[in-house]
Amino acid sequence: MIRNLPELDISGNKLVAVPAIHYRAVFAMQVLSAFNNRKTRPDAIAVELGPAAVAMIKNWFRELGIIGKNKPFPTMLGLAHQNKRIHPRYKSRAMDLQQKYGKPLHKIPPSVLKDKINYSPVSLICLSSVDSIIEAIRCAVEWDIPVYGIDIEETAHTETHEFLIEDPLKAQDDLPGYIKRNQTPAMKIRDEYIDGRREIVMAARLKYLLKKYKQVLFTGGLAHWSEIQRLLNDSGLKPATQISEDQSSEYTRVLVHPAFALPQMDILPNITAWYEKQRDIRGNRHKNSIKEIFINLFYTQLNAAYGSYFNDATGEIEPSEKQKILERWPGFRQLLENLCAVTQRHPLHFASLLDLAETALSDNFRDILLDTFLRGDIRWTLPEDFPDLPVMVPAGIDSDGAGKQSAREAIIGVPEENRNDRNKTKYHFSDSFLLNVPGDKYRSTLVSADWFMPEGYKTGQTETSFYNPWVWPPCEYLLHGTAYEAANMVKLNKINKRTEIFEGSLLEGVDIKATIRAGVKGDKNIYINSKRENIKEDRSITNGTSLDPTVFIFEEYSKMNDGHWELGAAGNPSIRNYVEALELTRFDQKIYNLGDYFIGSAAIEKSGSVPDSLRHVLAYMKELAGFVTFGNPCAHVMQSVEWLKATRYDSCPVIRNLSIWTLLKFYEIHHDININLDDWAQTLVRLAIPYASARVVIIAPDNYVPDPISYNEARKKNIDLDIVPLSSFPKDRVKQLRKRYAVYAGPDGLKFSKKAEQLLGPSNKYIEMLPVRMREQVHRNS
Amino acid sequence: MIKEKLNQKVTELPHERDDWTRDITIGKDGKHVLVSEPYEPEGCFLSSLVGRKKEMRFITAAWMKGKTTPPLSPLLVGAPGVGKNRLIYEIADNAGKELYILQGHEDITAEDMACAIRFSDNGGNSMDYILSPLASAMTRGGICMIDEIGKIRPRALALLASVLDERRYIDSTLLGERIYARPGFRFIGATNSGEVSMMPEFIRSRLWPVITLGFPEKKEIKNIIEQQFFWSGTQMDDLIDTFWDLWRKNYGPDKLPAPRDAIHIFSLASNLCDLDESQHNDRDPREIFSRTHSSSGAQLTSKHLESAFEYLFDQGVM
Repeated sequence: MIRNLPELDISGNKLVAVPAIHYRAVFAMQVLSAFNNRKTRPDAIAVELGPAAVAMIKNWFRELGIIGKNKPFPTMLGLAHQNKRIHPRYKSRAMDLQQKYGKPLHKIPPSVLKDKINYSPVSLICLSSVDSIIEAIRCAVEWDIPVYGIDIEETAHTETHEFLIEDPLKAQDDLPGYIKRNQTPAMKIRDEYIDGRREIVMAARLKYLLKKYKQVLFTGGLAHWSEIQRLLNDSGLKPATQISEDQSSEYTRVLVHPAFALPQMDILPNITAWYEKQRDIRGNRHKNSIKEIFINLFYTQLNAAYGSYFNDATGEIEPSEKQKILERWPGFRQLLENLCAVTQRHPLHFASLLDLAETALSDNFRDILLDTFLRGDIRWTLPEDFPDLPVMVPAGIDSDGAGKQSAREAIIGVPEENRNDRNKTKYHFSDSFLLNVPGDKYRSTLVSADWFMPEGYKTGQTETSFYNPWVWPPCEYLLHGTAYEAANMVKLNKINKRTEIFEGSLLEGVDIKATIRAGVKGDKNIYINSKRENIKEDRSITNGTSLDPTVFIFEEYSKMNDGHWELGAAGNPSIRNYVEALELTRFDQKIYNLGDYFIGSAAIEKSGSVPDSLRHVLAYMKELAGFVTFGNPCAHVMQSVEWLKATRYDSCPVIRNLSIWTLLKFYEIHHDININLDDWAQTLVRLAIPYASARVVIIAPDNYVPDPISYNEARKKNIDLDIVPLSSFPKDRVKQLRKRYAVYAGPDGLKFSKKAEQLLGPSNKYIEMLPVRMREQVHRNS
Repeated sequence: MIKEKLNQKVTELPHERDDWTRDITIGKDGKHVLVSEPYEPEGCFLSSLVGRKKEMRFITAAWMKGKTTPPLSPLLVGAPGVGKNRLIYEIADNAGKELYILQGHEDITAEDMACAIRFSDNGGNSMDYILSPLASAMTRGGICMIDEIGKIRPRALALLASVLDERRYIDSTLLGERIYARPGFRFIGATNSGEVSMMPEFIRSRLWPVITLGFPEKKEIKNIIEQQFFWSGTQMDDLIDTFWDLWRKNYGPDKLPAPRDAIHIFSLASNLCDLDESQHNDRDPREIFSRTHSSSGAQLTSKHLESAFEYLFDQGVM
């Protein structure tokens, strides 16, 4: 059925072209047909990809041994590429962003970069068998024909626009006619700056190839074809001198999760399976209309979904819902036909079908529909098929593998060398990023049903959506609740034990010890006991929005020599995202002058080993020897912001990185205090003193005595050093206080996985120990 | 039989807007009635509709008549201000159809759904029959939207049942006539999310598919603001950044504004800007009400936006 392909004569040699809509099988079939026809069978192939990408794909296909063998084409492999380009249009905006955030671009949150300058750090090339370019490379490998990537290797992302063209299935019978009718509307998506340059390079390289080979097959985007044609006929454009096969480019082979593969598998996922079945490199010509075949595939699966729904293997669907669906089925079919007419696409795109099922029927039916279509005949390639390959999966999948997620936020997992006890690959996941894939159609659909994941991955060692090590909030709550309790003890003690000079009233009687002690020093005053309150105005007690610093000393410092220092940031550099607009000037001044890490605590600690049972939820486990908190807990970024705002960003040190040495330098410059780390207990107290308004409470072993240096520094600043013995608290509590562990959390510590809570208990444990206003800080924004 | 009824005589109708009280005759006796005025939105067409393509397609598909089945009557559900009405204006405009809107409320009676009477303007003791927006749309073959349909009491909705199924007629006791819908008649209900469950089952089952309008994404809000306030020029990006900062401050990071909220805030900000400009140039205060912001040449700044937020939130308006 496939007729002539567009041809151009350039200097006596022939260019056969398949201008295509990407990821549509009908164009891949056109490429295949060029090989099946002796007249159009090329001497060389040119595709709209960079030379390095083509070389990578070609070599990968060879390694996979696809050539000439009847083995399934993997669904879906991909090449991930680090993107370093930003469209020149956004240059001034990028400058503004850096100025506004006071940091380089790479430190600005990815969502802001995507939103403001259309930048996504990773690009993905899916090796979809229904794409004409991938088919061309595949044929080149199978026929052993040279294949060239003639595009620029790396360009900035351009804005995506919707454009209205005829149903690509109409290209089956008359590709030249289809191109003629649709190339003008398709050109609307071109970005003159980016695509214009690409087309010049592609045309020049095509001219080079046409000098070298008698017949060249080119396939690339339909939007470029008109301009490439013009440039090929332009004698002013000289042929390129060579096309290098540079493989040094930063492409990474990845296994692509169905969530990202789906948008690149034509309008129905099972088309990929059908394509593989019917594909015959040696001469098969399709006799039937593929439109009819696709319609048949569509309704076969739809009817299968209908059957599955009413069979309901899980038994979870209510009979009343089934009755409703039964009544609405004729109406749904009518709607479906109407929607095909409205969109002028028959069969309907799978994403639209899912949306329609959700709107007109039920969520249950939509889920079964998704399941049926995705299971179909497709054999998804799983991580266990390629255990050494990094995987690209959507971020934000629940621990049970399911979740309604946008098909835009991705995360890459790199296999670790060590395997678990069942010899399954373990993955290390980096931070998530927003991926530039044409997946918008699927953004509201479920794309990550758990059966996609192989067992090893599903119950894998790392939860994909929770990747930020974050101190487990109960650790923070317990420490700060105890600090609050200690501050209250100090208050109570001072009320009961105040000693005053006798001035006429004996009040609670003569304080004999104090009077004798005074007499020894030559003081002839008589001292009496008083119950009047003798406590300075203290934020620790009167105002729960900000505690005065508290120092915990759990061990005698002489016994601790293998600990290391760890600074705890109040939030992280993304904290700025949560600062109110009206506060930004003050905030920015602070971080511009000092740095973007607000230090919430400092600890001297020993590393502990994470038990195997907790390894996939705990990032680390530490045992505290000593700890100083500058104020409130930092349960999550937004709570940290509340605390910092309440103290006008002056309640703690602000430095440029989380190094203890930077912190010491900060004290030297801003507080004129030279601290050395020889005596860690002294260091903790001295770190606290400049940030106290009235007192530093020190919770320490019973025999602890503050050192003279700390004592003098505190006295100079009119700060009390109040000691509360560790024995004031139950032993179990003290043991618990020393444990400090970090859990893999969602961004900014706002969410923890269900699994973590199952294993460690609720994430709000001990919160009731905090004063009310501090609890409000935690809850207000969580 | 039904066809005959559908072809009942309708007088030729003038198209001038001044003649909106169009006098038509219905029924075998040729009873004179007046039809309600169709709604022709003006302001909203200052900017084109942003997003909502999926919903538009669904509504259009629902309104297509099947070979053997009548068109469907969808129900639009969404929070206040998300653009339910705006979507219908767009579809009516695209289809070139008259749009009749019946505003739902608790005091609507069953007869209000079909017809009302009033003393005639022609003098004497005569009375005029006025067809409700629903009956007007049926006789004219236009689109009828019942806004806030969830607020109408169930017994008042009883007459609607025959309109929404294959019968496609409404009986008016007052008029003593049965009004049949012309083939071009289409119906849609709109209600806020919380009120769907309060609708009686006999109506809920007829209003299908239920199309839910969520809050638009940030990017769409940005486009809406840019389109509505295009005159504020190059600093729009900064203003929108400030808007999001202020919004987050007041509502937190998860809640998105409805387009109406965003438009109101920007409108107030631009009015404050205008006021500043007038005071600065010592203009006659009465002049403010006769000018549009775009003609004043004043520059809308973050300060105005902050004032608008401050005012709206301090007053508890939002």
